[in-house]
Amino acid sequence: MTKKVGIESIAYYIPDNYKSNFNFKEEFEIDDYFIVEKIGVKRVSQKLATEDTSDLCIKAWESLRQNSAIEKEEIDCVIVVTQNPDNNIPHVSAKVHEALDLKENCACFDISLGCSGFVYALSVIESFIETNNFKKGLLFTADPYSKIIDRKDKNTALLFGDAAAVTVVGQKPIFCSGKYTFGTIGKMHKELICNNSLLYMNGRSIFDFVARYIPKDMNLLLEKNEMRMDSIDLFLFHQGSKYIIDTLVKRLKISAEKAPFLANEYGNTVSSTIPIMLSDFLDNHAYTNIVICGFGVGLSWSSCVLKRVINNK
Amino acid sequence: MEVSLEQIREIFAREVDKKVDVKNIDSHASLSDEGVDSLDSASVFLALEDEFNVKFTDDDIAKLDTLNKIKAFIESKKSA
Repeated sequence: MTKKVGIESIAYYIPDNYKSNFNFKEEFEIDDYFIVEKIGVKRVSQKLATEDTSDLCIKAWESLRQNSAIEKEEIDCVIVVTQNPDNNIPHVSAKVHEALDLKENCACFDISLGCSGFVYALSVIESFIETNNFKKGLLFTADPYSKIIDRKDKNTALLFGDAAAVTVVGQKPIFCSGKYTFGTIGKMHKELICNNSLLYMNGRSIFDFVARYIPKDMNLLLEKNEMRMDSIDLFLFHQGSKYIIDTLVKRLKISAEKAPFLANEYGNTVSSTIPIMLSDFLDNHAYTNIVICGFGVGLSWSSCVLKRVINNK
Repeated sequence: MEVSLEQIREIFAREVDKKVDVKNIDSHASLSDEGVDSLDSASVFLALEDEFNVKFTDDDIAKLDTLNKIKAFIESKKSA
């Protein structure tokens, strides 16, 4: 069962400014093997000091405009997923609204979620568009962790990169979502938290959470959608680290090709990892059923099956 | 309850990176010195928790750096 509202296109922006993890081997007592085969991140992207969260969104929008024609008049809502906004007040989506020069009767709001944010927000924007009979909405993800990274913390300094993505959701979709799963383990919220403007992550707790909950969630998701593991062409898991993805591959007994780690050259870009990866598969018709699954801050997770729309004209 | 080193070695062999020669690690040797890194360790202790139904805190894990210490810890928890 598919709905008529879904993903029409995706574009993204990754700042062309990188920090190589190979430069930190001595400081963090790690070797090439650990960087390449374990965390999987060779370098992390980092925004310029002059760029703020809304600027990343605007760059993603400019990338979208280069590759697809979209009429600003058709945009009825804008959602920005971030926990690192330009300011506490106002919401980033209002600044994006101004920068994109969108019409006044356009709904704008932010969603405060981390790595599960894209999947949650996709469900929200689909419902919002359907309920209000809108034409199109823009779903931005932009969470530049470089604002809060403790550069002396091996657990986080080598992993997180900056990026933004914009997903156009509307009535001429390439992919529509099936049923979603959602979850939260609020009692574990302190395991991934920002205190005094610095990020803290208990790597072992996050690993345990993912290894224990996500395989179970995959089974629930497939059951809800009346599908089997082998009918899924691709699993796009949040790119926490290569080790996390390898663990999920092992626990789900799926091939590594079906659940790739693709963040080697820019890092874990929080809520942007899934749309960045998904953009490369939108026009590849070899992929009909794609699972997207985000997990992290909260601790929370959400998953859904995206189903290719054969005739979206 | 007695736990065998073989049971623990099997879990290490399943969870730890293939570059670590688990079969030949001396039961008194420091696991970190033998190449078991923090990510391997997270996998191993999760599997040990599932296998033996015991809970390891972060402080416990910091102290359990040999196969023998892990064996003794699990046995003490199971006997308590």
